Amino acid sequence: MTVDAAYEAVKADLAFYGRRGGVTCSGGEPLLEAEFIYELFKKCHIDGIPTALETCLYASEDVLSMLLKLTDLWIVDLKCIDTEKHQKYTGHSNALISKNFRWLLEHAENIWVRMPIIPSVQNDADIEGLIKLLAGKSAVKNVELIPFHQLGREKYKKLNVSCPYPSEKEPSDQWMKHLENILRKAELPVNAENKRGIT
Amino acid sequence: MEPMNERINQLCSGFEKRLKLQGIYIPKQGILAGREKLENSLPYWDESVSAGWDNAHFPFPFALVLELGLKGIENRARLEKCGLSSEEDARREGIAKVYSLLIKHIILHAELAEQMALENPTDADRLNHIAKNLRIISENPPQTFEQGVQLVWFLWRTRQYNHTSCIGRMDVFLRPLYEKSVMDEVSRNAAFLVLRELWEKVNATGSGDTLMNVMLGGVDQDGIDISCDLSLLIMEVTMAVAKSEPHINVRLHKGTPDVFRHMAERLILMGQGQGVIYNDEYIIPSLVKHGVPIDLARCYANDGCTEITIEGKSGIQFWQFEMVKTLELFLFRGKENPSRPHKPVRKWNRNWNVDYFQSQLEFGYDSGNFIHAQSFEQVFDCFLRQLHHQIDHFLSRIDRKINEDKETDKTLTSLLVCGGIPNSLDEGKDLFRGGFSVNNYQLLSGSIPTAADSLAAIQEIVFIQKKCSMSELLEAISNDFENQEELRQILLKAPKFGNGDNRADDIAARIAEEFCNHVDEHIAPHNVRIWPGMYNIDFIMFASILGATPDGRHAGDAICEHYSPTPGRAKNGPTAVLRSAARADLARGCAASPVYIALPVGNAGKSSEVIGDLIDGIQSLKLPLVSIVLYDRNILEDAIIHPELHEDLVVRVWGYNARFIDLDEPLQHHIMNRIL
Repeated sequence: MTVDAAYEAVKADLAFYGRRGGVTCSGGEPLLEAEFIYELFKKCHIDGIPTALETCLYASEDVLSMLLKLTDLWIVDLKCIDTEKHQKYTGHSNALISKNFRWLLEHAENIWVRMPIIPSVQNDADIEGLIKLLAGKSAVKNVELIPFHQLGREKYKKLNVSCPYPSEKEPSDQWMKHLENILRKAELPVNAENKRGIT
Repeated sequence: MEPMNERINQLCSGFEKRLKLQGIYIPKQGILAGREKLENSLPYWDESVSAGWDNAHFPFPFALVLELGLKGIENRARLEKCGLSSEEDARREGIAKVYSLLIKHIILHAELAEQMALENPTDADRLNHIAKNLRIISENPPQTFEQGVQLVWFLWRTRQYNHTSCIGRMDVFLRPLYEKSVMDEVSRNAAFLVLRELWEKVNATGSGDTLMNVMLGGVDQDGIDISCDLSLLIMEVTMAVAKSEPHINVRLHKGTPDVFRHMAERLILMGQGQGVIYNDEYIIPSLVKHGVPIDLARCYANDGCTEITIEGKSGIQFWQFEMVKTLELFLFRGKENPSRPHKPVRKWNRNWNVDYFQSQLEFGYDSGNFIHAQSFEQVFDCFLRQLHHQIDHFLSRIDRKINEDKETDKTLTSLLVCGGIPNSLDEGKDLFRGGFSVNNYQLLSGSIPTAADSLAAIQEIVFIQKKCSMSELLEAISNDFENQEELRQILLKAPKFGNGDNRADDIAARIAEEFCNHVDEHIAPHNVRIWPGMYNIDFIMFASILGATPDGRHAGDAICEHYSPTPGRAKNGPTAVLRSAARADLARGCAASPVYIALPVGNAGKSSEVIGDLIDGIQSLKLPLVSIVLYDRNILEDAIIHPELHEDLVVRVWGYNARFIDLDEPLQHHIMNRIL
């Protein structure tokens, strides 16, 4: 698809963006198509359409610099704060991601942070790590903990592929509330009402 | 024909009989006197209980009656007036009699309440309170909100015999009494309770196609926003009661206060089809273009369905055109498709009798041979010839009715309604002959989007992809695609309205434009402007007489309602549906040109922000009239299997809400297939 074709699709629903909507690029990992996004976001900004990028930040700092001024909202997916855990569960170090995130905290104005919560992986210590990272950072407008779910189980069956986490449990509502409360006590904006920093 | 005096006396007798049969009723709880419903009684159309023509489809003119009171109307009707004809004198005398009868009816209620108070000392306070309200409204204009609601109930209930009717701009006609009575939280709560009692009473009278529409918000005759705390209270009561009646509609405009708008969003989020959106910015100018003075156009309300009326100034009469059947007659050169089904159908309620529906189109007109057409435009031209011919056929029927209404006294209109219309009350004019100051005769288009799907399929499959010839296509649809499933699947994949695909959407827009042009250019008798609308209330009935169509539709399968996609055809979500609809200038269809979108209940469906964003989009796309409903398909499916578990499940049908389990099964499936 060309940038022009993508932008035609964006423009088609312009009537519905109103004051709070806009374009979000996600993935996969959208920063792998940084130049495409750059051109698309340029067009969006010319027509006053707010832009958002949903990314895990696994890219070079140059890419982030290129997109910084054209991205109104960064939705950052932080899987694990602990380096060893990150390596174990994703197969990659989080050194680049952490470095990029600290850079983003310095330069961006609007950031949401999302962390998946998988009972056998994260625990209170991960939340403490998140607090250390985000505390006092005014650019962070919203923090969301995303509970793991098994809704994909049937799809694996239909595809005849073995489910990689067959016995992984979904976190209870109680535990999710407990983790969110830890974040709230640290004065982080959890599931913020007024999270839409874009004007 | 009998002399006019005798005819009018008969109407008075009809009204008197109506009141007698209704009887006197004081409730065991609450404060609103007056019976809700009679079981096993005369049908409402029985001549012996008629007080004059009133199709109940337009709002009753409550405002003047609330202002003057029943006695005030009676007295004013008896004021001597010179220069009137004998018919006009007789009518005014009839109005006075009818209002006098209603006063006596109310006094009988007061007497019964007083009697019951003596016999039940523990309940005496309540009963005496009822009696006091009744005594006041029998002699004077209502003084309090409670008395106003009581009077509204009596007028509404006696307007038709044991039948329901349109209500109108309740936050306008009850506002003066509301603002007089409601000063604080306590009095507001009292108003809430009396409205809730009224809502329970109206629900006890019936459910479904009851015509019980209430219109809230919008501007007044000077263009100033009229929404007020009563508007909000009415929406709150509706959400609290959460039943099918009455049907709430909201007028929005640039100056609509946020608080009203947000409440309307919450109402829509309730999911029962409450809160149909009417956009003043597009409806009012269109009414003005159709000859309605702007101060009157600003006072519009909807009728018992979705069509526009001018409250206190017009009635409504409408004719339903058959767009897809017109397409069929064009395809078969004046004849019906041989695959047309012959089965009876119910209009909506499963307790009704089935009946065979007859088309009102004129058969036999051959609009041309297109079999060897070299281009789609040649085919479309043939369709247009059939369309214009059939529209002319309907327009001449409307012309005849206009002449009959304006030139003859064949129909005498309701004396009760006449009492609320100044031209009738003061000048004795019949509603059709000078009473109503705005003429309201409408021609409604039928299912344009389904017709457009068929034409888009012809364009795409026959002329662009050349996958079949016109004669092969006709052969296939005349046999309901027997042994032609492969072709049918190809046709099903052709562009369909409602998907943001201009190939179908622009054809629909062209048909809409042609329809409106033809109606607008027609010069009707007596300088009447007939109002076009892109609307279809009879989609179930029409589908039952339609053979297979070039869009891949089987004989008898569903067609769309109004300007919405054929159920099941819109695959790209609600924004695509709205964008498709916006390709046409729907405001030209000033009678009513609604778009319905049915959303699945989900995470987005819990947020009124999403509804708000949709409404913003609707307004910027210049759509005049949109209904947003939210359904859980699982619940609807379960309600078909276990109706006893879903007795309070309410859905939007066409211009009304109804209990899902009351609907005939084809209509239930039609509604489920609307979900995007």
